[in-house]
Amino acid sequence: MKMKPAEQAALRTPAVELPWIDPSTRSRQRSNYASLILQFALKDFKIRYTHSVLGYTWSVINPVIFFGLYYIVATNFLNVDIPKYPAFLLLSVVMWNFFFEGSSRGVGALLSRADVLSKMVMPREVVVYSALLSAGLTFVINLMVLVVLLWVTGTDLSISAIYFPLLLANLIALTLGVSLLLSPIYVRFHDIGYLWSIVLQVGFWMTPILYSELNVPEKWRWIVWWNPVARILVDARRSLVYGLFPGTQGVIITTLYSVGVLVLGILVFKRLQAKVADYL
Amino acid sequence: MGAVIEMRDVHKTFQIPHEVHTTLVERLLSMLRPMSYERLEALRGVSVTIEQGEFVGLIGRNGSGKSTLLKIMAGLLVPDRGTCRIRGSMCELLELGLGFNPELTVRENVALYASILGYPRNELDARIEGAIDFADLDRFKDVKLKSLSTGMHIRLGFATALQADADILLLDEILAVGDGEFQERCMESFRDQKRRGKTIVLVSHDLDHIEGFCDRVILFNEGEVIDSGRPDAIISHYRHLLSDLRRVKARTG
Repeated sequence: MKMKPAEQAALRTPAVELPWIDPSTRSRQRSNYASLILQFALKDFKIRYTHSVLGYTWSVINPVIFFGLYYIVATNFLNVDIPKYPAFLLLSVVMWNFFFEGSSRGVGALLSRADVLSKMVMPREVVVYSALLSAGLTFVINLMVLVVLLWVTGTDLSISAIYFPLLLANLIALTLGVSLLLSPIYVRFHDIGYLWSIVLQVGFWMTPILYSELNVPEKWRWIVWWNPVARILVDARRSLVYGLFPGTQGVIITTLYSVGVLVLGILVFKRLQAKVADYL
Repeated sequence: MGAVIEMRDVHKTFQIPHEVHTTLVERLLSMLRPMSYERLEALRGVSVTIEQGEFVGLIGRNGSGKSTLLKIMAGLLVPDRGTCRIRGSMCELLELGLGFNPELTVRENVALYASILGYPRNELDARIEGAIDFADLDRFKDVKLKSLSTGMHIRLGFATALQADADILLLDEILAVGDGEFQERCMESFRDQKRRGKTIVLVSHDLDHIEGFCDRVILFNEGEVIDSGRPDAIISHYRHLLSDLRRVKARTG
C-alpha cells in the first residue's frame, strides 16, 4: 500500500501528543458545517422528487393549484373583495407555505434523521438547518413565480419594497426558531408532531391569508396582532403589493418577536441536544 | 506509547417507558397515571484505558453494555456519571454500516458521509474514489444504493470509514459480514493501520475474529468490566461464563 503525504504526516505526529478532549465535543470540530448543511438539503430535495415524472416542477405546481383553488373560492363563493387580490393571495400563500413546510420539516428533522444521528457524530442542528434550507429552495422557486405574477398583473414595485427582505428574514428566523425549539422535544414526546400539525391547521384559518386583516372585526383583531406570521404577512403585502410603508414600530415589534423565538429555540436546542441521542 | 482513550467510572442508565396498554380504555386510564419507567443500567462504573496502537476487542452477552460504551467513546451518548476523554481524531462505524440512503447513488452516499466525517477538502475527491475502489464498487458508482446487496452496503461503510484515516477507529459488529476475499482485505488494512500507530476498538460476537485481530480483550457482563487481558484467556473466561449460564438455566428451567 502506497502512503500518501498526509498519511506520512500522521505517522510523524502520534495521537498521544494531542490534547485530551471530551468526545461529545467532537461533532463541532470534525465536520465542515456549511457544506454539510448544503449537502443534506440538496440530497433531501433530490430524494423528494426522485420517483416523479414532473420532478422539481411539483414545487411550483402545488402552490399554483392551491392559489387557483383559493382564488376561485374566495372571489366566487365568499365574495372577498380586495384590490390586487391575485398578487395579495399568491404572496400570502407562498409565504405561508414556507412557514408550513419549513416548520413541519424542521420540527420533524431530528426524528426523521434518527438513522444517521444515532450512528454518526455530527452537529445535530445541521439536520434542522438543512430541512429549512430544503424548504427554502421551494420558497425561492415560488417567489420567482410571484415575481412573474406581479409583472403580469402590472404591479410596479415601489421604494417600500425595501422592507420585504427584512420581513423575509423575520419569517426565516421565526420558522427556524420554532423548529429548533420543538424538534428536540418531539424526539421525546411524539405528541408534539400531532400538536404542531393542529397548530398549523388552525393557523391557516386564523392568519389573514385568504382574507385581509381588515375583514377581521375590531374585537377579534388582537388575534392578528399576536400572531407573528400574520404580522409578517400583513406588512409584506403592504410593502410589496400596495407600495405602502409598514409602520416602523410594528416592524420593530415583529422583529423582536421573531428574534425572541429564534433565541429561545437556540437555547432550548443547546440544552436538550445532548440528551436527544438517548431517545432516537 | 500513551493512552488515547480514558474512561473513569462511567455510568449510563436509560429510562424506557412501559407501554403495555393494549386497549383504548387502558390507554386512556394510563394518561391519568404518571408514566412508569424501566430503568436500564447499561453501564455501572466502567473504567477503561486504551493505549495508542492497541487493537482492543469488547465481548460480552447481548445487553452487557459494549455498544453503549462504544457510543460514549464516540461522543454519541453522554455518560450520567464519570468521565470519558479521548485524543486524536476518531471515526465510528456502528450498527452494521452508516445510515446510508438507499435512494442516492453509491458516490453520492460516500460524498455525504465524507462531509460528515470531514475528509480534508483538498483530498476529498481522491478519498471518495479511494473508498469506492476499496469496496470494489467502481462499476456501481452511479447506481442507487438500494440495488446493492447488504454485504456491499457494509463494505462501502467500512471503506468510507477507513478513508477518514482517523487515529482511532470504533467498529461495532462489522467484520462478520463480507465474503472471504473482503475479509482478507480488511485484515490487510488493519495490519496497515497498526503499523501506522492507529488504535482500533471493536465489538464483535465472532470470537474467532476477536482472537485473530485483537491484542487485548475486555469482557463485559451486566454493565461491568469483569475481565481484561490476553485474547485466549479472556475468551475462555467468556466461554465458561456462557456454559455456566446454560447450566443454571437447565437446572432452573
